[in-house]
Amino acid sequence: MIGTLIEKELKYILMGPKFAVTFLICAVLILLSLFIGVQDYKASMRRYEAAVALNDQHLAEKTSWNHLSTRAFRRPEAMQVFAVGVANDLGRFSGVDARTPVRLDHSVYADDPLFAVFRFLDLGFIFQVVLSLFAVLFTYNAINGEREMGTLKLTLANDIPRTQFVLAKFAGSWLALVIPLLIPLLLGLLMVLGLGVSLAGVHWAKLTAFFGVSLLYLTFFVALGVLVSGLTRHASASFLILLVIWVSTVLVAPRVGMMLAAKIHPAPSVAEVDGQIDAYNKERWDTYMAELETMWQRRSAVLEGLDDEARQAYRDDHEWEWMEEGDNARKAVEADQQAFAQKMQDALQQQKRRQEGLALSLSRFSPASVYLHAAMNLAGTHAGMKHRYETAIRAYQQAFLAHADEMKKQSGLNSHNGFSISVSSDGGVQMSMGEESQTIDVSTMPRFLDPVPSFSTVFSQSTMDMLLLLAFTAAALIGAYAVFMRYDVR
Amino acid sequence: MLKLIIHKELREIIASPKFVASFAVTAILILLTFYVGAQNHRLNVSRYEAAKTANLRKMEGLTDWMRVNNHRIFLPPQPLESLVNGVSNDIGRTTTLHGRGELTAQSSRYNEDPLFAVFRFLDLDFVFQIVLSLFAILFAFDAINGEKERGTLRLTFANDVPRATYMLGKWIGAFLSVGVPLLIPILLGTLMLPLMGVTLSGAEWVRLALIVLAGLLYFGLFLTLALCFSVYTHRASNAFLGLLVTWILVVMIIPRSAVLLAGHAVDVPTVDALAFQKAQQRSQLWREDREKMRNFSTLGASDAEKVMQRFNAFMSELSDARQEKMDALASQLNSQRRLKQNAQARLALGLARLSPSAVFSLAASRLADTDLGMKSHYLDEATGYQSSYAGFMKEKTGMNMGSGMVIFTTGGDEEEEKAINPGELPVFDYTPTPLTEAINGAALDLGLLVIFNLLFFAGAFVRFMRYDVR
Repeated sequence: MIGTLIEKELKYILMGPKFAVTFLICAVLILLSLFIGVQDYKASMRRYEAAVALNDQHLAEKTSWNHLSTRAFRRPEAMQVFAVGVANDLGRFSGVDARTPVRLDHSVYADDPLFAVFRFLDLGFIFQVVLSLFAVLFTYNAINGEREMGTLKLTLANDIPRTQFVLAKFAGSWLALVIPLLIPLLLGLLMVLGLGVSLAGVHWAKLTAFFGVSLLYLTFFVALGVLVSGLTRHASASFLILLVIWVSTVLVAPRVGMMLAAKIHPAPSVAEVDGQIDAYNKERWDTYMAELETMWQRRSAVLEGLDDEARQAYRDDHEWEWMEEGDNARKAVEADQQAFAQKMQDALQQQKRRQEGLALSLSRFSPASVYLHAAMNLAGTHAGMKHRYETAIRAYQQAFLAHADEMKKQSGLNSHNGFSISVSSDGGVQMSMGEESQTIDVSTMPRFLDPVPSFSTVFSQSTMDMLLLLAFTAAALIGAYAVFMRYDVR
Repeated sequence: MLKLIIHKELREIIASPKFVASFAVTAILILLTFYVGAQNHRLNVSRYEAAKTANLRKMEGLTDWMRVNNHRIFLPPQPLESLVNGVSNDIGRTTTLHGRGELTAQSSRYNEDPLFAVFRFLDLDFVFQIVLSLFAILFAFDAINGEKERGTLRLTFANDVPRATYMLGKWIGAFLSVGVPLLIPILLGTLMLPLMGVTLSGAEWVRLALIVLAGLLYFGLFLTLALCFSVYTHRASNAFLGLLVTWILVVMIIPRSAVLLAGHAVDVPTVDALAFQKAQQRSQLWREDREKMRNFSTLGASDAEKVMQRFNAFMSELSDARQEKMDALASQLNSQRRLKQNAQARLALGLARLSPSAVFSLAASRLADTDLGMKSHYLDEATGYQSSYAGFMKEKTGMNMGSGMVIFTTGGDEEEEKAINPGELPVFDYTPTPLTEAINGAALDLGLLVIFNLLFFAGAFVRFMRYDVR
């Protein structure tokens, strides 16, 4: 019996104009979004590769290990073809040196604001907004539509269990929505591969989970449609209610959650924290200058009274020791400044994480938010990407600076090619410039490796959202079943 | 007769549950947008003030203006930014000054807080563009064919009712019954702003009024489009389907496709490529200057302070010459990039204007000063300020800032130096684009909204003259 009911439901939907139009729109949107996604990804990859190559070239032309700096670039993620998330909002690279705190900056949208005007269309958006709307269109009159046409009482005049009827309604609508999607999705995947985007095994696993979550999200709206259709007597009323619910859950609730969180847990801006870091740096530098002055006075006192030859001999004997002393003092300053900057950044991150935690919790009342979080987590383009990259870049910064220090020690006195000034009562003021050295060998320099989360990591991060979606869907289904059991079919 | 038809339309719509539900949702959304916008603006202002204070505080205790570095300026938040976000959260808002050289804007809001980029903020652009357009479709998709299906259309025309009058009455009735009540939450929302401490200048009130006008034109456009579909189809369900497809096309597909096409058609050099060329030149010039520094002679002088002064002047001269060459290259590269970007934007926005949704969004952001020009305007203002800052620093220190090398001499017997007063620094006074310029910029889009309205109405009108009312 249930097979017949499902078949009847399928035929009814497939024969109507609704189906042809929605299928056509879905196909166009899915293929277009994947095409746009591939073009965006390839453009990002070209930009990334060119930037890395230029940075490498710049590093290779350096002639001293002193004050070495580089950049760590964020590699575009293949999964952003399917869910772009915040990939274009987040900075593309961070400077890496001894003085500047690690911070991703220069996002795609900041450098080219034209792309921020209308933003990108991706598969996540299509599922979240468009397909959910179509799910509502397919199911808003599932029960009350049949009642209005008079076919409901005719159907149930036969010995058809209500359970089977409502299940068939749900299954028929679900199949009519999902099966036609498979065609453009498969074509889209082929197009993605054909256009040169290579997907590794981990990507396929993530993609499978992404599609699974997307289908679960659609299932919720199908169940919701059947539920509301069973709660009302007229199709126009159920459609209005569903539209209001759709606007509220898909468009409004996620944004309101974010904004409430910003109000309850405000965090200082990066500019404010930078000002505090600069103030500390200035104080620490003043202390260092005072220490340097004491050091120079001490050395000058020793050299006082010696003739030129003795003075030169003393300098030669102590030059390396003085350089090390100066170097250690400078490193201590840099370490203190870095430690303070790190402390301020950590405090800021903690406040932001509290804010984000609350925002996520508040927005999880909306199935659309839950779906989007899960989808972006699986694609690796969630807001957490910033923290992940900045943590990895900080670790890289330590390795980079340690390597530069080691190489500086190995190259010894000859690495000094800067300016030196000396003042003496006999010779007056003497200035000299070191010889420009050959370019340094950066081939052994550690390379920045992108922190790509494994499938198990992203899956476990998305588990809560997937379970929530499952709970929402189950609640809607149980609700639809419960209301239909007492529905007046006349 | 016209008045009767309008009256009938008004009663029919206002008495329907459709109106109550949609109006309630829309009113709540509009009030929420104003409330949240005001809150956001106050939060942004407090963060801006805190950032400025922190910037000045780091200079406290300095005894020499030459030690001032990393002076930062910030793009101040404008009240209308919170009501029509545009690109205001995507562009950098902090600029570090060195007294010379090109400036870049860093730390965009969405880069600092990427979670807010996931859903973005609720603003008037979103409410009008997405929500109100859907509701406009909901009200008018069955304006004509719905009456035909119910049988009331032929009854109406059994009387001597001119078709033109009927059509006009339908449109005016729909617009008055839905558009006018929307003014209530909008007016309440605007009253909320000063009550919540958000002060708007006269020019800003005018801009807001024009944004609301653009929103109502956009809303009216979708009403007219729905009326048009209602006339071209005989079944309400088909009209609704067609309108939904059109909505998706107009709101989602056309604007984004336009940007994609323009991105392919016009190749803009990347920021990284430009940065590399500038870095190459900087290295080359620095190598040349090293030779000149090697040839600097102290002439056997023993007065360290005089030697340092001469050396500082020498370095300043080298730095000025070097900076001039770097500025020339940077200016050339930047203007080439800007030209390409402008060409790309012109193509993208030109194509996007096929969509009324894009037209409205462009008009609203232009009036709110949050359009594409926002970043370049801010950087132009910052560049102007940098000249004042450089002039001030030269007056205080006797040399141009950013020369690359400053040498301080200290001795034992000097008096304790007085701390500088950071309050003396010139203030960065950001001026938004003038009202007339904003209105001129938005005039095309406002005009297009009117034209779309007229076109759709004309289409509906012409078709209705031959519509089969049976």
